[in-house]
Amino acid sequence: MKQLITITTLLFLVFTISSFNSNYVAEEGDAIIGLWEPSSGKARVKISKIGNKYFGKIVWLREPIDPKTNKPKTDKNNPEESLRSVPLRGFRMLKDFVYSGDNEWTGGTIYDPESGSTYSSTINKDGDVLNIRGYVGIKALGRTDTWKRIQLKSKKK
Amino acid sequence: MSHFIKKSLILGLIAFPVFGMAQTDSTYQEEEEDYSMYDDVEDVGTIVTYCSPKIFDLSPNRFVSLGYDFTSGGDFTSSNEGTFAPDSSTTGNQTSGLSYHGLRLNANIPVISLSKFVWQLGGGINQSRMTIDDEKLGTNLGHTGLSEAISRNLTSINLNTTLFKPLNENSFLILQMLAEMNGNYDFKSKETTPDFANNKYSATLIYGKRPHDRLQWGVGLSRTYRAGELNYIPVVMYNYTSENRKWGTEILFPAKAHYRRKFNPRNILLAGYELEGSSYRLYDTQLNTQGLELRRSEIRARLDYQRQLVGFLWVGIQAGVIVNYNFNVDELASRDNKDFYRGFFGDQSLVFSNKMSPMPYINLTLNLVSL
Repeated sequence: MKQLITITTLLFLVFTISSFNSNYVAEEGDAIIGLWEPSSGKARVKISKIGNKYFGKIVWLREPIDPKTNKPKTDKNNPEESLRSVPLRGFRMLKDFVYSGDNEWTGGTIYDPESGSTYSSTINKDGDVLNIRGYVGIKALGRTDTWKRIQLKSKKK
Repeated sequence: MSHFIKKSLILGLIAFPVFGMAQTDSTYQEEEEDYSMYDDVEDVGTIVTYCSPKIFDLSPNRFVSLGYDFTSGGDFTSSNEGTFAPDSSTTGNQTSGLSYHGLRLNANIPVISLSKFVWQLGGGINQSRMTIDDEKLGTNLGHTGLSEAISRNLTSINLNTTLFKPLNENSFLILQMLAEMNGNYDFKSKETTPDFANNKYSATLIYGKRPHDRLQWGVGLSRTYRAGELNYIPVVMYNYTSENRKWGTEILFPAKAHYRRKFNPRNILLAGYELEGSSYRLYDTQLNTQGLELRRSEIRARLDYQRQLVGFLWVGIQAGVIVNYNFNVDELASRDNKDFYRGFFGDQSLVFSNKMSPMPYINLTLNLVSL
């Protein structure tokens, strides 16, 4: 009986500590959630969390209408023909990022609608600025863009 | 007690996945939202906006390129050694047949690639394995000596760097620097081992504007060996993509100029020319003169088809005609082995005045690219 109580206590402690730790990590990771604007200023991206991963979708475009069609811009450069009619607004361009500690989110991908290319990606947060690196294969073969945090005017931080 | 253990195990099995492995479905669809709410925002973070180094639909930037270059044969006509002033007639010509082929391996890696600054470092090796047609080979000793020196193959090993500094949202500076070790060296003996003192250095500085996502232009100055000899020339950059994004231009005049036709983002055709060349040290020649520099330059008028194979792996096929611009030889021994600037008006004598007939060529490359 004594042994059983010891094992149960240990299990309880392990679960409590891991739960506390994962909650803490999740809270830190959630610092990326919100609205962001890439350096070009041509789009706004809303990052949110689904499960334990982070995703970013385009919620605003500086030029939302395609001058050629006079209709909302679609993902016309997508390599998959069936996806070229998908509207760009609402498109999930950041996918599958996991918080790995030290203000870094890794393991995700970033989609460049201007070329239709998907790059491996990591995100590094520095205050209210994100450094998002898209790369081919290895991190060295890539480019980093800087995004700034924005917020809705009615919603003060 | 066994009931208690059973309960603990069941609880543990249920609890573990909750604590340890939250599942994610990346195809998860969010509910529709009113996007107009994102029209009115204010900054929390602060960044400075800089212009991008690219415009829409430029041909892909090559991180690594492995290729092979083939030419068909052409006539190589050379004057006698040491008797020619510039632009003099090439009496006593000797002619042989010449063709070449060779490996081209180049890499260009971004060391720093940020919105506010881009620094790329590259290197490469480009070979021309020369074949002289014995049947046509002349009997003049000078011509034979030159042919023999060239037939030991021409190799160019280079290191280069490119700095892109955006000044603001629509203007930028580009600085390119290149160091080359060119010659008919092969490292097999002391006489055929290249000397670093003979390296060639080039640089280009461009100030440019990027008024919008489809236009980038600039003007600058270049110290270059593309015409074979050392030259200082103005350069003009003009990269443009049409409004319908089906065609455009990629121009860095006079080095290269191409019309670009995009069939789709992974399938493009370029038509135009590139001026390719440099100065090659001729080591271990049997000629009377020493410190010889082969001023090699050719205009490659071509069609260049590039398409995606898979992912970021692309294939490139070039086909066109090589028109010789310069294949003359200078002698530097009497100038303390220092290079000199002849320009368009200099009167320094050549030791060989050569001509090559136009020849068709094909170039195949496999490239790891970034779009």
